[in-house]
Amino acid sequence: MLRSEFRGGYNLKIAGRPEQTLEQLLDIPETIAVKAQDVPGLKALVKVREGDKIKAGDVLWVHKPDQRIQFVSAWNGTVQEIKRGKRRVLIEVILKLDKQQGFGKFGMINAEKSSEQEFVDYLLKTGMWPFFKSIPFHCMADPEQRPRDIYIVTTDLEPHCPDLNYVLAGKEQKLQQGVKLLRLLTRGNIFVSQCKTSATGPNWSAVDDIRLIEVQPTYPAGHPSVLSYHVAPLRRNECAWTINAQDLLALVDLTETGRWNPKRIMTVAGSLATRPRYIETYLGSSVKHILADDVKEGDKTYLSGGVFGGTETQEDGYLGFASTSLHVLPTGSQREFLRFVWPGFDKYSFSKTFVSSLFPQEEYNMTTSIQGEDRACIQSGHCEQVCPIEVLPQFLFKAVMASDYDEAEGLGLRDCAQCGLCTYVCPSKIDLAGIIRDGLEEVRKES
Amino acid sequence: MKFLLDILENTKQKLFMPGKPLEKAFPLFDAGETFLFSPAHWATKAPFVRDAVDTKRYMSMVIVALIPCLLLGIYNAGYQAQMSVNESIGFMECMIKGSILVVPIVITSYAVGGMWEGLFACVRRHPINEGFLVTGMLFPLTLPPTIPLWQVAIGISFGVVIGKEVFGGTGMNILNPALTARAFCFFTYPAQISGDKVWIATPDHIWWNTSSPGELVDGFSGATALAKAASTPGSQNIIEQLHTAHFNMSNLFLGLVPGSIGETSTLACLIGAGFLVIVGVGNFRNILGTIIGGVFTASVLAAVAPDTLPGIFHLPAHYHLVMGGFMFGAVFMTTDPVSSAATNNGRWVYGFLIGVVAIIIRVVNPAYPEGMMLAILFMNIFAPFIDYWVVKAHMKRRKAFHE
Repeated sequence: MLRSEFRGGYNLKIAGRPEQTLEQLLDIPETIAVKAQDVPGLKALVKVREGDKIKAGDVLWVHKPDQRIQFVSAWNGTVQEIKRGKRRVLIEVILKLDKQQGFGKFGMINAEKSSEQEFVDYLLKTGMWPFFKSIPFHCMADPEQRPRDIYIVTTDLEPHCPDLNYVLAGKEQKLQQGVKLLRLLTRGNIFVSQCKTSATGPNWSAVDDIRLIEVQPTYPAGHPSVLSYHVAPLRRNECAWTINAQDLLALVDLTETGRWNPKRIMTVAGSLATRPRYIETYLGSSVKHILADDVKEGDKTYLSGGVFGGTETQEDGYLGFASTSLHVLPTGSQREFLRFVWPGFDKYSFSKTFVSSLFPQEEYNMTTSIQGEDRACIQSGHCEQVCPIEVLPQFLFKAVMASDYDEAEGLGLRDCAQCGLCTYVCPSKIDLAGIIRDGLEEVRKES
Repeated sequence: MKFLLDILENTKQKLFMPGKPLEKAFPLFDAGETFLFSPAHWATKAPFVRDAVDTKRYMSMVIVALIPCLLLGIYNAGYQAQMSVNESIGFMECMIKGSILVVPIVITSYAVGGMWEGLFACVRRHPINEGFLVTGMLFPLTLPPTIPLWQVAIGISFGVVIGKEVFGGTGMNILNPALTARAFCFFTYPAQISGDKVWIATPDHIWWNTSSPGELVDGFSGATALAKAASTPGSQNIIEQLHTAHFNMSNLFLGLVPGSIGETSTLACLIGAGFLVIVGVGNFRNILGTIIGGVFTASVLAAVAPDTLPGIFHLPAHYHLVMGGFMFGAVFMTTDPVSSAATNNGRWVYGFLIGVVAIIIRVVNPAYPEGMMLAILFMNIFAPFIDYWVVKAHMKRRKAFHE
């Protein structure tokens, strides 16, 4: 067994932890959205029009630079709305669903009998392709490339996102089937990770052909970029692909039955959710469908995904393309009187500048407040202390701002896991992770 | 607090918004408003939650750490002044006299520096930076209690404008603004900031003092311990000579000796150091590096110097640490995150070299009894250079790792 241990990382003590009781929310919802917004690097060319009747298996849009990458509807219904943002960038396609759903005839494929190319074509045709992501650039996988390694994301330590140990327990057989499928794509290692402190997970010794990495219980220990950096660093021009274990299970279902499986186990979390819990529901469900009226009073911010990697959605909005978590946080619109003067018993900080570091609470009610104003970098060094991949973020972000990409790559631009911790701790409230993400995007375009 | 918020909002709408009469002074209003109430900024993209610390809190911690130095500095300024004319040295008398001497200096520093900070904020249209809170307090503590207020005003003006604002404000400056201000005073008006006559407020300095007979006590010298050590010939025992001049380890450590307002007390500096390190605002690497550098250099010099050289060559290392501004500089000046080296390894080197240079200036250069200020300013210039090499080494390590 491999181990990935590192300095850095940070566990957020944020309130609103979901209880581990699974509730099923499997009634067919009235509407569902397929989001384009949170698929990194996507340029959508929409293939449907509002009002079109669609069946499971119909193409909603394709990726313009490589039109083989299709986004497919798993549902029967009508296109209710095509939402676009600035410069007509596609945000989401909202479908009004029929009462009868069959999840289509997508065809089956057998891992033992099919070739690599057949499997790739199958993934592209069935719309499973976008669930694969590629590191170092954190974008959709490229059908022309093959990964050196594949990481199955089996540990997600982002606060209040589904504990995958809990979700995957007892699914060894299906996981084995998934590993066989992935084996068609790479000759390298297929990595999975396990964190001891969370719920009892799957018995990995029953799954062949994988390499298990034991990780420490610190966010973002299970992130493929972090694992890759510490266990199997990528060389230049190499890439690794990643797929979430739940998406892999859905892929296995698809290959075995020919039916698309949009069911996922998700979490409802955040301090303004009345019943933070685990639910089983469909990808792209509406916030209303999941929450009904289970929210507390106050100014609310809805997040699709976790607090570090999610995107904002609205009260009448939908969950993201592959997102498995819904957070309801208080919006940080309160103004506090002489905030920096008080001892700060309830102020949660990585630094030790508040009394809360002497008398820590179990968890803190955190809002979306930035808790300060933008300032120039004062070299506090906090970012360096939390970075999980030994980067010097304060030098890296300055190199990116100066468009010195050679320097930035030397400083570890490609190793960045986009965990967001550097932005989180910055006392000058600089969005280091955002600046570094833009730098990565520039480098990706050039390479 | 709602009514106060409403008043602020009203004033802003009526006076400070674009097109309104005081539009140009918006940064001033903004500074005041955000000082009173944290701004209602919230995240609209990931990460959606943020740490509670901001630069205001961060910088306030330094002010808190300076409180022991300030209080002991006030006490000592009063104590020395009372001693010099043989008056009562009760606690209250010393504090009152000390306050009369020190508080105007601090107020002048904040008022004049704040004026420049505000002016630049309005002209350059940037928010007022909290770093000034620290500079405005650090600078007075490096001055003798007898300094004329107009020199304080000119000094802090230079420090804030040339030391910081011309570079773009806190975070962009190369030099430590407080030390830049002091260096300006030091080279422009040396008579009021060096020598034997300025460290104790004798009746000559105190124009408002009517009750005092104006007679100095017998044997009054007014020289600092460092000046005394520098003027002692090498053939004599340096520690005995210091003792005859009423300098011993305990009063040097407590800080009841002549010197700049905040720097005399090693005890107060150590309390501040402990606080800064515990809250994580001051980096222990800078402080320890400086101390190690100082001890190393002083020990080497003491070991190799022949008797023909002046007595300060033979001064034991631990005396160097408690004399002059060494500890104050090590704790409050080297830890300034902006002008210091920014890498952890770089911080050790940076601190170490400050210690080395400071002791060398003290010992070898007969013109300057104290070397801390110049050593820190010198290393401020070198900090990016140190970082350059540390980062180069870091990049080399990463590259090797990926091949």
